[in-house]
Amino acid sequence: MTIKIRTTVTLIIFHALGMVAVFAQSTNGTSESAIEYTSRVKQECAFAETNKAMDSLLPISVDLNNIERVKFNDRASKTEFYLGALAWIDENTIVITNVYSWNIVPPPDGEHGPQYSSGVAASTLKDPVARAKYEAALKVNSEGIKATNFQARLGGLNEQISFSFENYLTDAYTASSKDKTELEELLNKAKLTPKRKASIEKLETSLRGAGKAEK
Amino acid sequence: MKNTSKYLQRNISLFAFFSLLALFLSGSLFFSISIKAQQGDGGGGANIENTNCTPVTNGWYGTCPTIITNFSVSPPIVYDRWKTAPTMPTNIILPVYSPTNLFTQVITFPCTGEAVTNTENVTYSVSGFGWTNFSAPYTNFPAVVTNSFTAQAYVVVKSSDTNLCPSPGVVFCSGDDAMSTSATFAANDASGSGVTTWDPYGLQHQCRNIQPSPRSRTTVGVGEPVTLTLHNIPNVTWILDVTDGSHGTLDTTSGNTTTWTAPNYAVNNSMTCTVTAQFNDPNTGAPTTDPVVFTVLNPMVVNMTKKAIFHTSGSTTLEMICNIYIAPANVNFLAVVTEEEDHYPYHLPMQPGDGTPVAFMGSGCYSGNNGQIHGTPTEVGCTSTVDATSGTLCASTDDCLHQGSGLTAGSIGISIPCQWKCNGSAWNQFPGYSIQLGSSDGPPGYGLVISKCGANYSCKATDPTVP
Repeated sequence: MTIKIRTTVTLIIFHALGMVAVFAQSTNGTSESAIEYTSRVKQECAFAETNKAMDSLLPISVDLNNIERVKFNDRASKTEFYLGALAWIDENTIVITNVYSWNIVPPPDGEHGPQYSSGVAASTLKDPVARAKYEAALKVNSEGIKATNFQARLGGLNEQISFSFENYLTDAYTASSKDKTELEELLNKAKLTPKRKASIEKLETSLRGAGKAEK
Repeated sequence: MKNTSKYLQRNISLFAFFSLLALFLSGSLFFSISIKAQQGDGGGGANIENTNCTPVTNGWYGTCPTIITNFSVSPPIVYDRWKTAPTMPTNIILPVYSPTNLFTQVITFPCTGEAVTNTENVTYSVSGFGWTNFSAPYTNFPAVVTNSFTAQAYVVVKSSDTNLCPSPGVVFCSGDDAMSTSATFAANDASGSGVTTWDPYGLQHQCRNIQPSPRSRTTVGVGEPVTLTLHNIPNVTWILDVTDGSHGTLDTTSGNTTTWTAPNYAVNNSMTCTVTAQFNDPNTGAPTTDPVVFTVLNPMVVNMTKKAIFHTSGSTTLEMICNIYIAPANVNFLAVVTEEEDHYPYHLPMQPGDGTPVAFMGSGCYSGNNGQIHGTPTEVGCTSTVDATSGTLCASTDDCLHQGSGLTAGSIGISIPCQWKCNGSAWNQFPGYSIQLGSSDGPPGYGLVISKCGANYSCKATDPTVP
């Protein structure tokens, strides 16, 4: 079955499916099969399940936030640790395209049944089919929100570590060929996304001029 | 210290004799002898003509101490550079004056043609380094500087003999003379905050969350981590004013850097937590403390802004997708999750309505919703983004929909209690409610309104379908 999303009938499909997630698709005009959609939602929810919600991120974020304080034997070790942390963030970061919501809109309570306001309890719906759809949609929404929460927290952590790393990099490295070679070798060794690697390489242009004493 | 020649010591009685004789014979002449202290002019004193073999005491001559090392502070201009907390001048060089500045006094004895010489080494001592002449309106080093700030370093210079060389007194580190340049502290914050944080020991505190600026703010949200750093000072110990966890936690209590995480709950809106660095003053060696006082804020309000609208023409169906924010907006609530409740909260002591299910109140075309229970609590987390007006942006949106039966008039509303928790701690109630309203005017105006937590939209039922 293919769900064709048309903006003019968004609400109808939206309510019929009982999934606020579909709204996201209506805004970009794309269509997606139900199987693809289910697969993607499952993938997103799997992250929430795997990571046991975002509270599990807390101890990790505390550890990563203290990189600046940790004493490393040498500069390369510290850089390597930073790059490893950034790679871990990249690895766990996904783009959640669906929109999950605090409250969602229930489907009409049966064919030609009343349309209740968003956020009503599932027990409000008397039609068993509509209620089942709504309960399923609530579950998907709840799991999606867990994944979204995790990603939001991870995004905050990414900001903090990236900021810290940028400061560290421009402080610890100069534009000397020796420093740049060391950095390049560490960058090539790290399992970074191409986007991350490119952004770090861009930072090299702001390194202090060669000839200055290294820290 | 004066040194009298041995010759004079051996002939002290002779000197006394001649002095008494001179007093007796020619008192007025004696008093005309002036002993004039020379004050750095290098010239000799007046010679007194003496025909009676009275010793002639000449004035002191010599040169007062001269500066050999200029008074300076470095760097003289300290910028609050982007991503680098401002520091005070770290290299302070006090003025040094020439150590040997001999003054000489010659006493001659005309009868014998002999002479004695007194010498004295005049020195300047430097003490009392401090800062003054703070630019208005400051009277001391401010905790936070906006735009620019200047201060002038000074020392107190004292002479070992104020008769020969007056004490220079307060000597300023100033660009007006050759001694030094003045110290200027100017904000140059590329992040745009234009705020310089000042600490006399260079203690830096930086909120881990990038927003809201400045990161040096001392008002933080529950669970916000703040890194404190005291560079170039050994053996720093970090102390939290209350250590039972109610004032947050320190990740370490020793070393140049620590991270303080604000508590998960503030007992009141003016709760403060103090993190103190203990160390020995690098200049004096004296035990010193440098405290930073943070104010911790709880989430207070749920705000929303309209993100999207859906409306089906010819119906009362009006749906509003909202961004959710947690206020106040001057802190970051990344560590917070929030949810709407399906029952009104319990109070102590118990109050009417406690534990009652949260229900819609509908009338007219919305009567079908009257009494329907709100019951889909979902924990929504926060992002690291802070809107200057609305607060910390939540990770998910809210979906508000009201639909009446037919195009008649009616209204619907619900007051939903909300709660929040930080870093997995216990739930806390928001002071107010999340209020969601809707209304329909019915004919002939067909006006529709929907609103929730500050977000609102109105249109006519007869308006075209949106989007």
